[in-house]
Formats: sequence, C-alpha cells, structure tokens
Amino acid sequence: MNEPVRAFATLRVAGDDLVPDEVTKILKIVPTTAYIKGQHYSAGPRSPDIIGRTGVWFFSTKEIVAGNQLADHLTFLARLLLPGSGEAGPLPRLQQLLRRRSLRVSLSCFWHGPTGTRKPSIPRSIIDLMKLIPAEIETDFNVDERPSRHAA
Amino acid sequence: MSRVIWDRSDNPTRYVSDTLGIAHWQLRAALHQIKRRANLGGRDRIVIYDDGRVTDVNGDDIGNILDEVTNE
Repeated sequence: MNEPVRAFATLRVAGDDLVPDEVTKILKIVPTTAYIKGQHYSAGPRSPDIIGRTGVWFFSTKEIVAGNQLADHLTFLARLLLPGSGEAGPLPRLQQLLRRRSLRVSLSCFWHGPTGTRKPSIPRSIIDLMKLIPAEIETDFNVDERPSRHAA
Repeated sequence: MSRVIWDRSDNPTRYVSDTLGIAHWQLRAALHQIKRRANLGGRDRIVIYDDGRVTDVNGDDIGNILDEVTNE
C-alpha cells in the first residue's frame, strides 16, 4: 500500500549580516528556526549544539498548514508577503532589508506522492511573486517507486 | 560509534530509511527540513549516520533525522 501525498514549503532568508528579528517584524510571524552567523542553536534533542555558518531566518509550513495540498502551503507563504488588506504589504520593506543587508531569499517546495501520482506544478502567481522579491524557488518532488514496508 | 549509511548529494535510497526504521517519505521530508534550515540546497552533499545524525561536507552537525520525524 502506498503512502498518501505529503507536502509542505519553506521560506528562508539568509546572509552573514542577517538580524532575524528584522525579518520577523516585517513578516509578522515567528520563524521555525532563526540564528545569526556563528550562533550556537539547537535543532532538536539529538542535535542540541549546531553552529550557524551564516545567518538564517527559516519558516516551514510543515507543522502550521493542515493538509497536503502544496498550493495551500504556498498560498500561506504568499499571504505573509501580500496580505491583501489594501494597505502596502511587507514586500517593499523586505526588499529594502534584502538590499541593505545583502540577504538572499529561497522558497523550497516538498512533495512526495504515491506511485503513479502526477507531480504538482508551482502556480504562476507564486513564480511571479518570487521573481519580484527576488527569491530562488527549489522543488523537491518525488513519487514512491515501490510500496514502503512501513505502510499500514 | 555511529556508522555512515549515506555520503552523497542526491536523494538517499530506501536502504537509508529502512536502516533508520522510518518510511522513505519521512526520510525525504526530514532531510528537506534539515538542509534548508542549515541553508543548504537539495544538491548539497550531506553525510547520514545510522543513528540519524546528519553532517555537512565539513563534518559539522546540521541535525538529526530522528528529531524531525513526527508521528503521522
């Protein structure tokens, strides 16, 4: 028996001069993990002392957005940048910060589906938004090659 | 002492997930999170040990797969 579809997305802002609180204040959301260059941080009970090689502000939708429709996860991230409230969103302030601190933005998309499932595509609106930031988009899509022995 | 079970840049095989006792999608999802949190891309080489520890090419710890696996 195949596993069901699994999907989530991550947004990452990185650079040696990153000050994580500045990104948090602009996007108005607490990151999954954030650290400055050289900072010791914990990635879990089995990896309590990791050293940041550069500054990273990292947000994952994995435990935040319910369901496994990749589009829902991408829409959640897009709304952080373009809330659609009629007022100027955080995008211009983020762009200004990226230039001022020489930061890079990356969007990564994870999707894993059962054998024979069609892989998703990235909506045009998301591609356009990432170009605007500008941000790199990375996809990590895969389908099961054979049923897992761990399936129920 | 832990043993290396993967030392390449592409997606690990089912041998790795079977050795760790997790489903293949769980392994892929965990590595996706670990690598991006460490500011690495999908093509960056990593080393995986049989206790779930993951290091970058310099041998520095970047996470543990078993920390990422949730009960779903």
